[in-house]
Amino acid sequence: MSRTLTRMALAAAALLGAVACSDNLTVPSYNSPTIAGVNADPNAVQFYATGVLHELRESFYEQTFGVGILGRESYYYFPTDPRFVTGYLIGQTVNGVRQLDPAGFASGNWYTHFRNIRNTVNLAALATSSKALSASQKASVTGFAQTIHGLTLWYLLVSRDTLGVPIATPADPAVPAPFVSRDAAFKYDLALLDSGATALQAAGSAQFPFALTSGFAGFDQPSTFLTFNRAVAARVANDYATKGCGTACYTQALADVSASFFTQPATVADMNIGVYNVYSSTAGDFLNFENNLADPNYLAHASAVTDAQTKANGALDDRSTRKVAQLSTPRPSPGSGVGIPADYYFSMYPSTTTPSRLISDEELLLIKAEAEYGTGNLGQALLDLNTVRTVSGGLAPLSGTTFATDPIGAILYERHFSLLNEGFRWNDARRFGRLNTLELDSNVDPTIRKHFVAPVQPIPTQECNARGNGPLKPPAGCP
Amino acid sequence: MRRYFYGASALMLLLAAPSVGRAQQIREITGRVTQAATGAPLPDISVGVVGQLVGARTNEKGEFRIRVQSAGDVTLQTRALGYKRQTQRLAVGQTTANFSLEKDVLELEGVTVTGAATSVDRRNATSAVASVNSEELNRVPAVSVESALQGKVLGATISMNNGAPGGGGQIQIRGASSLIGRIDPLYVVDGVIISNGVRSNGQHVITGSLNAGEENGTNRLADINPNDIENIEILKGSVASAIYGSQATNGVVVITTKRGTSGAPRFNFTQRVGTYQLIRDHGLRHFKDLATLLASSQVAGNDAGIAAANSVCTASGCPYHDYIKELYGRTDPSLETSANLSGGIETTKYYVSVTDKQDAGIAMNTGARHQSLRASLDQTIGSRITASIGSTMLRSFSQRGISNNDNTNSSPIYGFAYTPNVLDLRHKDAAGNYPINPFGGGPSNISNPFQTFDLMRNNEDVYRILGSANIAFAAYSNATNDVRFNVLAGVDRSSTEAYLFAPASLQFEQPGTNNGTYPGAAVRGNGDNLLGNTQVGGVWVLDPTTKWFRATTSAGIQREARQNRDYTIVAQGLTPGVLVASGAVHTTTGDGQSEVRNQAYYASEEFLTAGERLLLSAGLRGEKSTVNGDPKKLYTFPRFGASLHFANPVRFISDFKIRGTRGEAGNQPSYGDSFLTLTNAGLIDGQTALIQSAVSGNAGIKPERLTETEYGFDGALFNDRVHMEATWFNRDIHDLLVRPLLAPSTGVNQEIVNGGKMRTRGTELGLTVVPIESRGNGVTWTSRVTYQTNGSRILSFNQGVLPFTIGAAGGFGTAFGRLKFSPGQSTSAIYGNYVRKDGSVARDTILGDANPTFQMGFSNDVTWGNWTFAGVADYRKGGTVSNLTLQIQDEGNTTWDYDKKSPNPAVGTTLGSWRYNSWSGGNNTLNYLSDGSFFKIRELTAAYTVPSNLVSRFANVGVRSARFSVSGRNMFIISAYNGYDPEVNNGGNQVARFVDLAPFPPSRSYFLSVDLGF
Repeated sequence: MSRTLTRMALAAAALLGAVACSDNLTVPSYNSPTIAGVNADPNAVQFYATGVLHELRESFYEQTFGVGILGRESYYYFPTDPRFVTGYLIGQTVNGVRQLDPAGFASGNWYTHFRNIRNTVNLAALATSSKALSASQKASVTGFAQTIHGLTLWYLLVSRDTLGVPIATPADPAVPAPFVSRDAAFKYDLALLDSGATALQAAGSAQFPFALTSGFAGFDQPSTFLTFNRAVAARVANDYATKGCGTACYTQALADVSASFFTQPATVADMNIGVYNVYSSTAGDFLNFENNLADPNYLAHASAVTDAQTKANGALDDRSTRKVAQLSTPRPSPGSGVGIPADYYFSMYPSTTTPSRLISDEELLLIKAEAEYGTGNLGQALLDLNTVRTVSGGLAPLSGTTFATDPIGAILYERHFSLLNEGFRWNDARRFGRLNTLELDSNVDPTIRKHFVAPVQPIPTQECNARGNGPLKPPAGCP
Repeated sequence: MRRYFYGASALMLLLAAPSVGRAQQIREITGRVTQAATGAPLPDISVGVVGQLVGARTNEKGEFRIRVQSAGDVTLQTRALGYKRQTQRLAVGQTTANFSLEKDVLELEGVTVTGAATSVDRRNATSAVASVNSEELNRVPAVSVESALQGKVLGATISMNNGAPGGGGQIQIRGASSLIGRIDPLYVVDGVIISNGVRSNGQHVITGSLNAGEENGTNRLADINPNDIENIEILKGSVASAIYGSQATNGVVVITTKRGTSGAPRFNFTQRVGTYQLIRDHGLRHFKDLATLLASSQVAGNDAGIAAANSVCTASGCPYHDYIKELYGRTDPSLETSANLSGGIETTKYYVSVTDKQDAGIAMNTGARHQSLRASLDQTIGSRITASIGSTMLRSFSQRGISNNDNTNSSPIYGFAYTPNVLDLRHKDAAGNYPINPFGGGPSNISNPFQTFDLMRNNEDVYRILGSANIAFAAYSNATNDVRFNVLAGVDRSSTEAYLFAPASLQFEQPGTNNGTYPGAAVRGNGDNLLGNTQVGGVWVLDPTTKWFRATTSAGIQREARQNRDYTIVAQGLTPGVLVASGAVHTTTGDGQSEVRNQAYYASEEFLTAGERLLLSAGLRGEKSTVNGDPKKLYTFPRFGASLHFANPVRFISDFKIRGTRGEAGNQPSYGDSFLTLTNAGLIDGQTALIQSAVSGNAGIKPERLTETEYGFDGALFNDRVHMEATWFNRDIHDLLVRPLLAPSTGVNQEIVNGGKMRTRGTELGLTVVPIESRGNGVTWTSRVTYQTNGSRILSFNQGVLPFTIGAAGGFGTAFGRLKFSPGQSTSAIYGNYVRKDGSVARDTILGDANPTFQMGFSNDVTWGNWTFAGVADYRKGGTVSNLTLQIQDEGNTTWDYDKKSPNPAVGTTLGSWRYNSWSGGNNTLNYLSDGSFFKIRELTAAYTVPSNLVSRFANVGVRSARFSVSGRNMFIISAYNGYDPEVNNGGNQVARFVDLAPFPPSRSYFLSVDLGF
């Protein structure tokens, strides 16, 4: 028996051993690139930088989408879900006050921006720790990252305004950064853009160690990208001027405009000089979803036509006819009785891949006009406004008297039509205390279907919940 | 039956083996085994000698021959599934023993698996056992195995996702045991772990729905041919994980297929013919006049709709079309043909079967076809080796139409909800075109479901091979020891080819619609699954001659690997007349792969003592897996169990057993959870964009650890006329896998951590009664009632882990009711909003629970002479359903009861408008949360077995037996639920099911069957 048992035990051991020894317990990540793998790649900086630009385009879409509906520039009539109407235009009443639902559809326009801020931070960190890049190349990457970071933070400041935002990007995502006030956030943002400018200057004649998209043609090296950085700074300073900073920021905005790529425009093409988001129908890329063929639910508010002034020949403002067109049949609002039919769509992007303006000469001229007005230079302000009016709108110039009766109204009109569907109207109305001038489509039903103009987009419930009641709790806006 | 094979035949062979210890006195015993009621010989019955490792099986004439190493008294015992065991004591010199076996109507006999190669008598089992045999399973044809099991398994909740032909269902055993880990049981066929995955069919490309679960896919259990199944055993709790470890925390469904038995070749043939029909439909709204129609939400403000309304309606009335019945009213015949051949000699047994089943769906161009070819062989090689080999080739083809959530109105129930049913949409015009639907959200959402089902294709074709080989080596045996080794290897390879085709002529593909950027779409995909598992183990049975105990020691190694590869081509803007992707304007490709490898080591001990009354068992498993953060780390899980049973403890009680087990198991993280990755966001200007991942991976992720305690009793009373069982269980899950939401301002949305504890508790009660029993040809009536209840609660989350949701899979937000996982709350709690009495709105609070309060199953079998009548029903009490089908119909003003009296005309002048208005854009979710209680008649059968004297007339053509039956499935639903069926779920298989949104309406079926034996 013992011999049998020994033989048996040996056979068993051999068999079990054979199975156990093939100890292959490593499986690769097939579907997603590992951070370690990408960082070891010589093109890592390019991949990260492209990621930043890809998400900047996404940020732009979310921003124009959200604030466009709130600013009565656009509708999103998703036929099977009326919450794109109710969530933005009706909201809810809490303690007698109408507001947007922090868990509802209008609570977005938040994470995408912060994610891209994290992308810019990741990119800067990757470049800084790189052994392959020169010091000036590293500076160029830092300048690029901080510029996009600054622009993205401004998007958040527009939608959350008085609620404030967190400005730091924590290393450990489980520990969120504290909220800071709108004022502190503006200061931080301007400093960030200045820091980016300094870094871009430090890069000197070095080239970016990555290629930008064709939307940045003419702005794709540190020295030219710097003029984009200043354009963004001008926009932020101009905005901050009406939100507590005052004349100092208007002065700063004027300086930034002149340090930017701004040139006095003489034609519509000149107005369009600037930086763009680009689109493509290539598989894996995105279409411009504000084009009506790419997304038939993205529609224009009638105010883009009804508010338009007429030219000498009786035709509408060129900007209105250039940017919106009538639908062949009106699109009823989804849901049941929550909105009015839409008659127009945006024709401003003629094809599904027409680039969208990220910042343009036209806007810089409008910033200049407003800043001139804000610094007391009414004559130059009127001159600049009339350049926009006549060149872009084909309208007769405003007389000094007309301008003087309501300079703010004149500025807001030009901004409405020059920057239509680019994410400004709601913010502009708010910063000049004119939210009540925005059109209410439905003002009949006294209880549930009455529209209102929300002053801010709410802090999303998820952000509130992740902070508990401790010192990280946001200052306001959380339920 | 196969389980007996090792024990009996291996041992029998050993008897003749040269290694057997010195021969003692040997005598030969012969005999015959027959059925008590009929006297018919019973083949393949195991006959053993009590206290000795000696046994034999009867041949086709019911005869056996056994050699016993004892000159003294011996006791013989017979065992077989379906018959009560019987013992006979043979005095010295007695060499014949005949047995007359009674049917085991209460199913007290049989064995239950306890390990890779071990089993115990069911009467000694330390935990509750649930099993369903071939006859119970196959009385009434079903779309898939899940459907055939409904109402029959104590401790399991079995639901079909909707009524689309081809399957798609969920089995949940003992409630939830994970939040984001595996929620499905493990499915094992003859020792081979098989895939039950669902492949995304790409339906979201045209519906614009949110996730793959909404695409109404089929899970791969649908491939398994019920005709080949001998027995299904549902292993619950720690017993399951003792064998299959980390993949088995949700229980195991052990499927044993039919095998050959020795004897002359036997051929069985079954033909079934039947039909499916819509089970429950309230119809649609009757628009009473033009004014009502013009005021309705889909017509007001819609110029085309207004024109259409004026063309068909007048001030005195509108036409009425019941679109549901028109589209889902097909009753084409469904056919099933199956045949099997089996036979063999003692050393070689075979079983071959073929099935072709065609189910015609209730809507045009829908249906399913299952084909299967199976062959198995049981062979003894030499004197010590037995091999069981099986191979199945399966094909499943399904045409499932389109259903569930939808954003283009392409899903019919969805589209109809927004289409006032006043137009004839069904009939084509003279030019052969379907009428344009002028309603439904205006020009971006045009859809005529009749056209859709006529022209669209959503086909899935699966070819699958299952193979298994089980080799047993009887290494050593003597009077008290038995040592054997087993090698089991199995493979499951399936290839799914999916084809979705939506031609540009479809109304929802026209320019100007959501799909109109690139009209015409085709999605072609292929998914390959490969699962392989091997087990090598040894079992040593020590049965000392002192007879006071029997110890079974086993140990071994298991390895398992699963791999999935998936390719998809999404083509949009098809070339006219081309049915495939080539030439399309816009083509995107998808390619994904996952791979998991597991290793496990186990050792276990079963100690049977006190005259086979007390069983003590213990085991330990160690596991490694590639899905863990540290794939080299060994996680160990112990288990203990005990049962004590008494034969005739008091009068009236024939058998009583108390039992208890406690064991641990792990539930694995998912593939990819441990990787720290970036996300490929796509392209911009031809460059690849890599960005921060929304969900941060975790390099330290580890399995959830589940500790289950189960105790209960089983009792047989009144001369085995009554059997009762009761089980209580408690599952505590630590290191719960959670995906808490982070502050989005950090730039990271979620992380995966082991960060919580949850607990599931439940009760399972079963009572089987034989009110009437006759030994001869009279009436025997068996009735069974089961009751089960369970509840899962999240006990706590770790510091910093916040409540989280699982996106669209967990509902559509608080306006409609959604799941949210919060500490202290039920895992299936439904969160929503409601308006307080003072008019303020309470937000995101618990309004219901998807988990039923309790469930009951009822089954009755009556045999009366040659007639058999059987019925299965079940009852579910409670379980909140988010009735979004009703919500969209109210929104479209098309609900059948829309015009009933309003409870508050100030809010809405009709019932439908009141419901919708007081829902208040989601401020009052309660309006669309419904009680999901139902009572369903699952099965009814009447079968007639042709008496043998009649059959014998056809003996010249070889007919040996004949049976006819009429059967029906899902005959009635009795429920106050305002919809098709509260059982459906939009998101497919989920941890909690509760969303009814535009399902493919469930159907009932009737079948006529003929079974012939040759």
